[in-house]
Amino acid sequence: MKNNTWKLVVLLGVLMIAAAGLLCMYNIRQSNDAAAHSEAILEALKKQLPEPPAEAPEPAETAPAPAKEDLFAYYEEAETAPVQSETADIVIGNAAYCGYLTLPSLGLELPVMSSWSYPNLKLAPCRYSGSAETNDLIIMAHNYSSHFGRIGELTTGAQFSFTDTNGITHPYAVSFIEVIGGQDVEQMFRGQSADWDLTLYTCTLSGQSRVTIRADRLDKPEEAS
Amino acid sequence: MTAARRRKHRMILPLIAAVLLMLPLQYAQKAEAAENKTITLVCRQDDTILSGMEWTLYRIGKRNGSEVIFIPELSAYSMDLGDLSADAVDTAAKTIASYVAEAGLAPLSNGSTNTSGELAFGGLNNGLYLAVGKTLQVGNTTYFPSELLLEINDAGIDYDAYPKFYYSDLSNQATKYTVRKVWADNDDQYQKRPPEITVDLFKDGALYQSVTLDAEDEWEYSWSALNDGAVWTVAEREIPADYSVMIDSNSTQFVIRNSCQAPPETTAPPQTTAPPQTTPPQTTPPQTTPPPQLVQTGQLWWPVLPLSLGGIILIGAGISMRAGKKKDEE
Repeated sequence: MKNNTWKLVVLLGVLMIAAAGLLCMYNIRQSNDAAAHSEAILEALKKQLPEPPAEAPEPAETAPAPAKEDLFAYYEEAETAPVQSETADIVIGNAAYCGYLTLPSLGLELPVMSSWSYPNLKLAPCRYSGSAETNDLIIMAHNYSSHFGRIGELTTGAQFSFTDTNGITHPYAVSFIEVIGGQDVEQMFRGQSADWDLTLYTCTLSGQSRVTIRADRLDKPEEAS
Repeated sequence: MTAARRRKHRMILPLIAAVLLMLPLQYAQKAEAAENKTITLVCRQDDTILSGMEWTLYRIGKRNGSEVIFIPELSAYSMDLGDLSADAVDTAAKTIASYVAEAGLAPLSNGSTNTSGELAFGGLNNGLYLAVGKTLQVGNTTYFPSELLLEINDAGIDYDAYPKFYYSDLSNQATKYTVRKVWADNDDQYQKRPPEITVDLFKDGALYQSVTLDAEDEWEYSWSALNDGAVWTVAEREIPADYSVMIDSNSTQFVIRNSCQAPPETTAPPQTTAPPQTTPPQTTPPQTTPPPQLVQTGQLWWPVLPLSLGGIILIGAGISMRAGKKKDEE
């Protein structure tokens, strides 16, 4: 028995290296599958997008105030209107999409699902919260190299865009990058619409924290004084 | 000390004393100058100068960033003032005016516009003020002034404020006024809604009637009164716990909107609970409510390194064990 101990030790070592290799292969395959799915979805999504309007719609800040001739009708409308996005989602297969992201500096173009779930995250980036219209959109994705795995390489000032389902492209520039603890939900939402207009995040390699990219919208209407 | 030096000291000491006495006075004058500011209301509508329009000014508190800190008389009322943006400030002023009437707050100052349609309120310290005007009849037309929320701060200077007006030809006939309660609580999701509320109706700032609204009457009450140019305001007497109130109105309709601030107390599954401060506003599109911790978006990469290193170490150990064994055999 003692004579064979070295064989057992070597075998255990080989098994551990094999496990590491299998895990790498699994992760790479998952990333490739996600990339293939995202590419297919993006193609279908772009086909369904309408032509962008010749002129962007008047921003809400400068729109005339609603007439208050019938105050109750105004409030009834406000209270009973279903809470919904100004832009309707596009359904492809069984999933709804709210637009797509273009990250030229990373060579990525990715569809964004309207709502998140763990199965959804394996296929495409997902909206975590907010919207482009209200300048508080948060998009998250797995750290696959084909999804958000390289967003940490973005630098301040790097430009990218989000195209919504109306075909309107909203340009953004990275304003700052931070790493947020996995439990710190409050920090993720802090400063929304004020300090940043869009956030992208994904896990660090350890999975304990989130690499968080904050961006300012470049075509944001001037604040009403 | 010589007599000459003593005389010199006798002259210097009163001078020093005089300077010391004057210093606080100078600082006091400077402080007063920094806070002694004037707001001038300019009341003109198109080519019409509204002279003789009566205004009352109330000091309601001060601003700390985006937060309004009300004076004690108003602090008990949980008012929803919105973001105090240009769009929201009119409704905020109406809401505050309603609770100024409800609290019976004593005015800071009052007066009437002069022949130029101007009225200056001077001697104002830093803080937030509310100006409430009375209607004014010019010919056959009656002008209704909007309430004005005004601020004096360190950065500000004396300035002019321009109230908005709407006007109508008074019929002096019975007119129907209606107040409606609107609940912004996601259909009583948190079950905090009271069975009824009491609303006080004020005519020209004086209590006219108190009414009770409940679900049976669809949270609405109407009354008739002569359209005689009186200014009507309404206030919810006791704002329900966990709600804030916003009051909006036009010439005959009043809306009391209660927004629930309470987080759900039910044992909801973790994914439906989010910190209150991070709950997106109602205007955001439908979305999956954020869970109490950030979503796990990582692949399982961390075991790769320890597994590989461990494997290499074990193989190395095995090889060295084999070498040792061979040596022993030899």
